[in-house]
Amino acid sequence: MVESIPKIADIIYATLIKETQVALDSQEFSVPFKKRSKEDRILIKKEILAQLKQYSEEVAEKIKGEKPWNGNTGEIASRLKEIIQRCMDGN
Amino acid sequence: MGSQGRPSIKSGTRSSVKTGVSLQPDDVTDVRKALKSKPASEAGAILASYLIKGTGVDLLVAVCQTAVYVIEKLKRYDELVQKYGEEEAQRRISIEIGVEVVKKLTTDFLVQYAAGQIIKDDNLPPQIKDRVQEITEDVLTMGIEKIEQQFLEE
Repeated sequence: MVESIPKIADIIYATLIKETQVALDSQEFSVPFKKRSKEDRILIKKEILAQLKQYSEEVAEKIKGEKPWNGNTGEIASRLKEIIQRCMDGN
Repeated sequence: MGSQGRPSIKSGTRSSVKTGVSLQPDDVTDVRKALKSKPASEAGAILASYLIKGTGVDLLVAVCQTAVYVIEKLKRYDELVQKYGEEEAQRRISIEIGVEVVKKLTTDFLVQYAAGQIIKDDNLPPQIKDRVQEITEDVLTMGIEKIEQQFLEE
């Protein structure tokens, strides 16, 4: 069942994508994000996707062999915010 | 044994689903024309609009997905016949369909297995389990590429 790890990463990745969209629609990010041009917004989102992909693989590796997803949602939420902020700042 | 009771697009008499308005001969002609001349997705949509008259909605989704797949494969088969002749085209289309079906089944199984790994933790709050289930269904039905695309377009 070697391939199950990438699939866990896919589910985590999909979850992070959906949560990021919620964050981008929230008060904190929606105003600065919508001020950007359409091209800028797509570039930012592409960069976010690249970082989320990497992060989801990290998380999938972390839960490999451990009790799955043991609930540190706070850490995931703050990492998400950090990724969004960094991509919006262009770092 | 005659044709009595045979499922038919024309009569809309599939007994296992609730039936709606019967399709008329002109409808069938329209569908045939669409299947011949339109791109697969458009032909699928036209077929769907007629099928909705004759079948229950639950079945409709599955029927349409299958119909679009079959139309795409028929068009692909035509291309292969032009290129390689009938015998080789049949061989190639069988392999293509086989590979796609096996790939889909394997992916479905692995995604479900992976979701099971994530949500089997008893300490996980029910709302997170529900969310993982929901997202797993999206991964299964849409595929990760479409989820990415949707995110870029929103």
